[in-house]
Amino acid sequence: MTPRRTFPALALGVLVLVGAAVPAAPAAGADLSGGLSAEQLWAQNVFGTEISPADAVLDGRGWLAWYPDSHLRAGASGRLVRFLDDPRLDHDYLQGSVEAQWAGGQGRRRLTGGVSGIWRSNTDLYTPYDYRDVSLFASGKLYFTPAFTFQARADLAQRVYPEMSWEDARRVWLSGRLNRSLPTRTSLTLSGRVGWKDYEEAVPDTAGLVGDAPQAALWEVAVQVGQSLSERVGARAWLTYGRLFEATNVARQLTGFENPLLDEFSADGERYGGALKVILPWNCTTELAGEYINLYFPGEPSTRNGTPGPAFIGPDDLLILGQRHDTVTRVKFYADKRITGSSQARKLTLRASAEWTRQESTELYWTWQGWTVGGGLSFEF
Amino acid sequence: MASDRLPAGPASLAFRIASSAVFMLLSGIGYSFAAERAPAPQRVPMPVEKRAWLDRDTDGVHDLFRDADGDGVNDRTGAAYAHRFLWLDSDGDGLNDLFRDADGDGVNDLEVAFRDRDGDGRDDNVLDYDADGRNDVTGLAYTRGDLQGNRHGYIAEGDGSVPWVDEDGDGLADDCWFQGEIFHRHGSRGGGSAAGGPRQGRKSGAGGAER
Repeated sequence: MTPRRTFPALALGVLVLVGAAVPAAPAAGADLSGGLSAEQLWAQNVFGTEISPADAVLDGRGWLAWYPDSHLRAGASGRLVRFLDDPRLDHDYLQGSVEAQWAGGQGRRRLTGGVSGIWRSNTDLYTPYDYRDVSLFASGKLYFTPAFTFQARADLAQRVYPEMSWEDARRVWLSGRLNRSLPTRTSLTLSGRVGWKDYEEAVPDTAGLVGDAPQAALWEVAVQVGQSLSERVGARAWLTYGRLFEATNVARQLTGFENPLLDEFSADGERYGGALKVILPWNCTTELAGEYINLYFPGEPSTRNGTPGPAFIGPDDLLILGQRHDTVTRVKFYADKRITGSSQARKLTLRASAEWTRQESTELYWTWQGWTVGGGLSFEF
Repeated sequence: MASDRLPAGPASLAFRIASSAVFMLLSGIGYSFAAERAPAPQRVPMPVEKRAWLDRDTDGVHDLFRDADGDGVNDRTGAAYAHRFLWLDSDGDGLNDLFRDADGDGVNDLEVAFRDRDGDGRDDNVLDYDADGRNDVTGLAYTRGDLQGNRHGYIAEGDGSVPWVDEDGDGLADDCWFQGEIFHRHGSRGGGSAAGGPRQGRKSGAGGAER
């Protein structure tokens, strides 16, 4: 049995074991919760010197969770993304998961484990990026005090591209998070993670040679500080630093705008950000956030349209050789208005948002800036 | 376990009857000075098959039960439930001064030490109407020395302490918002024990309970 077939079978086996191991407690109030949301986005971007037509995107989501037992949760969610100006870009997601949780030490220790699957379907232009993803996860949380917690999590996932088997890969993530809230209304969060990505097949390089299946590996640490300025105003700042200590050949990744194959294992760098969150009267929450991102692509230069592209547009419009380097500046704003009825279990949220992004790259193709504004609503029950 | 709470013998029985009578008399006097008394609708014992901690939305509050003002009515259903605590509202704020259960764990938010105001030999600070030694809401077995109040729910039973917790790191107490002039706060920290459950928010200067 090949690894591609072994992993889903293993996941199914674990699912059965999890179900069998869950205590058969009375299903007091077994119930459903869920929601629907729709958001309309309008984007106006400038690529290099070329202004794109206004892109209208309709993003619809739905989710459902079933609690057959206080220790068990099953969930499903779906997403439909519709590009009104170019239906060839439409794509859909469907996700399902089952997880079990246990608590001990009078609730101070919590364990969660489960399995989830994702199915993505694209229309026309992005059909090769259709994939199926199955993952196992386990997490533990420890409360030293109510305001001092530690979490650890492990994920093992396999993604399969039916039309591009050479992109099939397994991923492993190990992560930890330490959070401390202080009486000064300051919160400190330190987190870190390590990930590995193993491709299952090797592909010929530019010289036609086939070696071992490649790997990529990443470590990342992050610090976040939050400070309450009043009960209605909070500020936070964060810094993330990550490095790829093993990189794949970026040439194997097709280029394209929002290429879904460009994932965390494609680039490393730093992120600096800050945000101000304000709770206005009448149940309205707003947040203004800004972030600066420095990205390096340590793999070999990408190939576009079959032509190797080691030359980039550098400072002063000079052609330079080397790796791709991007800087991204992003400012976001959103306002949420929450409407709750007589039962707080049901609520309606209205959202308006705006985002400005400027990306500069040593590769002219990736240099762009633009605005995105959106409006939508969600209903939860 | 029952012997811890129910003294045996005729002398103890006489003592219980006498102390109950004295307490009822005193509580009646107290009532004459208290604010409006809560209505006393027909009370129904908790169904045994429902006894479990249930918090699917992980807001630290039982999904089927809570009694934030201690009036003997389940805030979730509007139905009166069987209990043995008394009503006293000496400051007229509409809240029971003797018993409240905002997180719905069946344990008094205000006190966790053994208390037997009516002299029936039972602990008044836990909901155990049938005196089977198990919490009527959660089904947890308890002892006089440990009511297990901090096992579930967001309230730190006994002192009502509400530490400031910001696990998502946004600089605000977790998932809080204002509606009108009432400050709401629910958390999302998965499970809601006193050790890690969401904490009750307070409006500035008012310290009002979430309602």
